Amino acid sequence: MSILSKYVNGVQVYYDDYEHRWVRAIGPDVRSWEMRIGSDFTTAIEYTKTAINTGGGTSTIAQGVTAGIRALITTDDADNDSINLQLVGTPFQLASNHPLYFGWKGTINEATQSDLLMGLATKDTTLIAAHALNVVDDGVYFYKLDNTVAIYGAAEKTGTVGTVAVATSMDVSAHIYEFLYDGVGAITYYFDGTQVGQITSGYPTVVLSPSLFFATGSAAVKTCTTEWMRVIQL
Amino acid sequence: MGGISSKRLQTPTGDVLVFHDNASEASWVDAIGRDVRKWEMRYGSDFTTAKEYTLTAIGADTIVQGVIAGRRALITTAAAENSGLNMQLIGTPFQLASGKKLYFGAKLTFNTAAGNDFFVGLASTDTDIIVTHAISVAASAVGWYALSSTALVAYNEIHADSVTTTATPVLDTSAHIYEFLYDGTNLNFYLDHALVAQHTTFVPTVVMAPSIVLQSSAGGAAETCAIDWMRCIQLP
Repeated sequence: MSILSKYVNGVQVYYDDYEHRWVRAIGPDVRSWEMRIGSDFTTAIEYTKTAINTGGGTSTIAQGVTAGIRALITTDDADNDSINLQLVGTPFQLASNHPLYFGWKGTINEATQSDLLMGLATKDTTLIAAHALNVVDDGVYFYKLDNTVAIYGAAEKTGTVGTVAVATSMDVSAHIYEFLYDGVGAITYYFDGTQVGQITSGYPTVVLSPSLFFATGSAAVKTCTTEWMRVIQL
Repeated sequence: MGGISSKRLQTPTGDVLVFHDNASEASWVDAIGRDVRKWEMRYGSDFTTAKEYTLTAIGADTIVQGVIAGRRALITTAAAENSGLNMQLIGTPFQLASGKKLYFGAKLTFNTAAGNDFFVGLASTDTDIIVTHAISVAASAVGWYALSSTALVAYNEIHADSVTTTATPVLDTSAHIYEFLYDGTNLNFYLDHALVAQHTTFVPTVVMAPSIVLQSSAGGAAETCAIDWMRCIQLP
């Protein structure tokens, strides 16, 4: 990993091994958000948090007690128990000449019996419901559903979803999921730095919020850790 | 402060760009890298307990946003001996690990030089880091303290085993910068950018949280600690 910088639209953008992997941008109008170490996960403070608890306990999201983990989701122990998390507000919007980067590094402890979605979405308290995509309106995201290890990059506009498939199957190791909107007409998806595919139409233009959803796909507690999650728009 | 410089530091997974105060290469102010772990007390922090921080007050002790420009927080103790506030970031996001450099720093101002007990640094989860004018860490900690005297002590501990070095400058009522840099092996302590000591033993290895404690000493006066800034940066 090496840190380099370049100018994009007059903004200084720092990136590491890959030019698409933006880690910081400096400019007067840069819109940058990163899940903080020390985030307040009390609902309606920094995030809107929706928990589904049909088992014997409670689905939670908390600061990681393992060093380096910014958030740890622990589901309750019934099928579909989950945490749906969105940043309060909708600070991002894909718009011409305004490139946007999204990245998430995380781990889930169950590759098959789980649902996972991370990216940007319109306000929605059930991004996935009953093991099916349930984003009502719009979003740009990665997801995987219960009973499969297939991972997809997606762009959704008014309920219509376009996808690109990640060649690698979901496992229980940490991976980096990223997409870069070029500000022209394409969203390119990356998995662990490798380009997965590109979506050039049917992507949203409404305001969106950084979003994370994780559910158990069986009657057992499952966990999802977030090492980092950031969005940078120029 | 005489300006800012940057340097590339090699980590086990590649380079990271570290910005430091020109006064000291050990005084990190920022770092850019994919897996950098950085925490800094925010302007606008929510000091309600169990939101961003776990706060344990002994008496009518408070922490609030600074009303003086530049102050991120002001701790005020009750006017009673041993009354005070123990504050830790929720979660334990930092852990000293071989080869992974870590910086911690805080700029603090106290209203009396010998009227308080304080600790600032990283500590394992602990609601009473100081008890009755003595360090009372249950597990591990690393940082700076003064205990009802002007003696400033650089310190690290694993359970009851600790190493301390008393700095030559003594505590006064001016702002000072308390820092340590874990170089991947040893702990190096700095006071106002000057190296005070290097500690090579009892370096904690457990997960820890940014922590600060202020308590009133034997005089029982209301004491204050103003926090200009407090940050921790760890490289991958």
